[in-house]
Amino acid sequence: MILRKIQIDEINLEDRRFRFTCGQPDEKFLRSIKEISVVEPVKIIKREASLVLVSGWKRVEGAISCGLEELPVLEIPENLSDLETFALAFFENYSHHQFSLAEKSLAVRRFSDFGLGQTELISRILRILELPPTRHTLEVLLDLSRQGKALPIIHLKDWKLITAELFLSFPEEERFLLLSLFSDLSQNKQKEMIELFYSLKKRKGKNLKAIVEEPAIASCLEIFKKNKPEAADKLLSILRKEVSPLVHRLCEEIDREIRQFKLPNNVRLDYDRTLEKSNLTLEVMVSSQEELRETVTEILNSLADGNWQRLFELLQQEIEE
Amino acid sequence: MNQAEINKVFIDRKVEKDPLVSRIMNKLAGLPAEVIDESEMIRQKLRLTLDPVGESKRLLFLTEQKSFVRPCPCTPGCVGCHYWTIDLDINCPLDCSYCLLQSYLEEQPLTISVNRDALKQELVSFFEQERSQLLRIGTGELSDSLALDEITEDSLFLIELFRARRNFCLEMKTKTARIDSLLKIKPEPNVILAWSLNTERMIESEERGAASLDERLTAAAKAVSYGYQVAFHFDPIIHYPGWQGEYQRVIEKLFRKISKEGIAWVSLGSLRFPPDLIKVVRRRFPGGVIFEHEFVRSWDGKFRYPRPLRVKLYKELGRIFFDFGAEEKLYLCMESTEVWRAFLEKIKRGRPLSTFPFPWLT
Repeated sequence: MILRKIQIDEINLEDRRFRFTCGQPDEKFLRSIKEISVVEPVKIIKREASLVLVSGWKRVEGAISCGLEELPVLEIPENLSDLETFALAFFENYSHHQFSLAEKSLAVRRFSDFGLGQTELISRILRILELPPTRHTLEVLLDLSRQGKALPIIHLKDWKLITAELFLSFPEEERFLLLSLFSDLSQNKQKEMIELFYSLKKRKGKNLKAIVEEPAIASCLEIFKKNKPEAADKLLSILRKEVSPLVHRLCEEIDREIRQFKLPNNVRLDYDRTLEKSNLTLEVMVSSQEELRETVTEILNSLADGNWQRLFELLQQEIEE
Repeated sequence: MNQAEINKVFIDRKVEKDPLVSRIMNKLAGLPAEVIDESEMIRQKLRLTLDPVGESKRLLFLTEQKSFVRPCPCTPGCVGCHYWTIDLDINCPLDCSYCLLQSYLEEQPLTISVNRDALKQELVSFFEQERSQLLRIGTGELSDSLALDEITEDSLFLIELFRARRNFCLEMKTKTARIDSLLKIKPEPNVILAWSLNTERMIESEERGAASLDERLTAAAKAVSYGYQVAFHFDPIIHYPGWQGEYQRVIEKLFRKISKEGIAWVSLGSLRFPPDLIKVVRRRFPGGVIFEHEFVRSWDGKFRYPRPLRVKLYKELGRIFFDFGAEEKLYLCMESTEVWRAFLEKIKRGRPLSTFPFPWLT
């Protein structure tokens, strides 16, 4: 390999055949470049009379952004095949970079495009990427690598394989709709929203468009346009209710009943919100025997009204269909 | 399972010379066979397929294992039923959408342990331990007890071992109608043939490769008239529009063919699954809807229908059994004390719980 300095514009940055990382230079990175320029050489290789960047995309983008004109490069011998060259780029990053799922999908795509066989991809590369070494995982990753618009979000929010798999089960136009709904949400909320919409679609036998046109959801989407984070939480809450109507209804009834209780302020009533258990929990906060006596007396007095009975009935109620 | 559905047989070199291997291979004449040293190569092969679970059901692996008899793990926090299992075959040729073996067994071919001497020794020593009550042992935990029986003859081997062991009850649980070989031997009172039952709609949509309801009930009736006791497992009970009427019809059909005296026990269990299963099911059964119901994550981490709905399902089926005077046969599978209590209050009409929950074990 030859170490030298070249003008950045000598590199054909349009040729992205070896790129699989999604990271962008952040403020700290740019400050470092401004202070000491790019110290570690990027790797390039000659292809069809131009220089192609093999690794060091973030450094090059940082250098351009900081107005540098030249940077150090290590030129890889051009007799290396694309597969060998990409393996070099991959393993160089592998040692010090935690790949996101989006990056893993792009790496697998590159290995596949450069001719690595399916068995090798599954048995070796997927293991290296700490993913289930199965044909199914390979298919999911190859599919994911084609999701141009979604990849930056998948990278940024560090999606897990299971979320990506479910996302890919939506038709393309529905994926766009989903992206427009949740791009600003946290990874967990994105995952939950995909899950909830998936379930609703299957349960109602409707497509996503029809579901978001339902009045409750549609009205929420209107707010969405004005104030995204708040609206997203509201949307999630509506979806949770739709997916879990029985438990929500019963919990609402119980909560309503509990609110009507006139209990001392130092007593808190609670219950299992999955309704697996039908008992109540009373938390009593007291700091003296006298206070305890008063509190117990107040609780006993409250037994005289019918609310407790009603509450236990609600917790143990049988459903009618 | 017929021979045509198995694509290939792998034989563990350690059991290559076992007489049972020869007998099995005679029954599978014409199928490609390979002697291997490591089962890992089968797993690798399966991982390269798009549907490892489906493909695993077409590869047969003859091997050995160290131990067979285990207490049924049930699930923490549930009322257990003192069940034991004999894990003789692992993986099942039937392909039920809700089967948790899909996520529990990773790339495991249909595995038959042929070291019968070891099984015999283990069972004999198990029988010699003092037992104060009747103990149930079944082979249907990690496979269907009879689906591969024509090849393995497991049932005949086990029945011979259980003969005259009155304190030990062998249960063979199936969704097939393959009982021909069992109708050629003397039935033993401690051998129970059991069928998992569901509505015709659910059998059709969720139990790929299994016998129809009529076939199962006809086989059960045949077994009873031959002298066997039978058992039934309504598990998983699935909630869907029209479930009440359809389960009612199943139970009516059951009692039209079989009198309650011929029935040893009936279990009820509703659809439940560990979180890992759902991604496999969504992939393998993309048109399925039973997993898109309302579920709660319950105390043991599994997803279950909300408790009020489960109680409703059990009480409704319990009511129907009550109408046939057969409520004493019922027990719940993998349920909490809370659900048991709600169920028993109604079904057993407030009777004391001294025999709770398994009267036949006392």
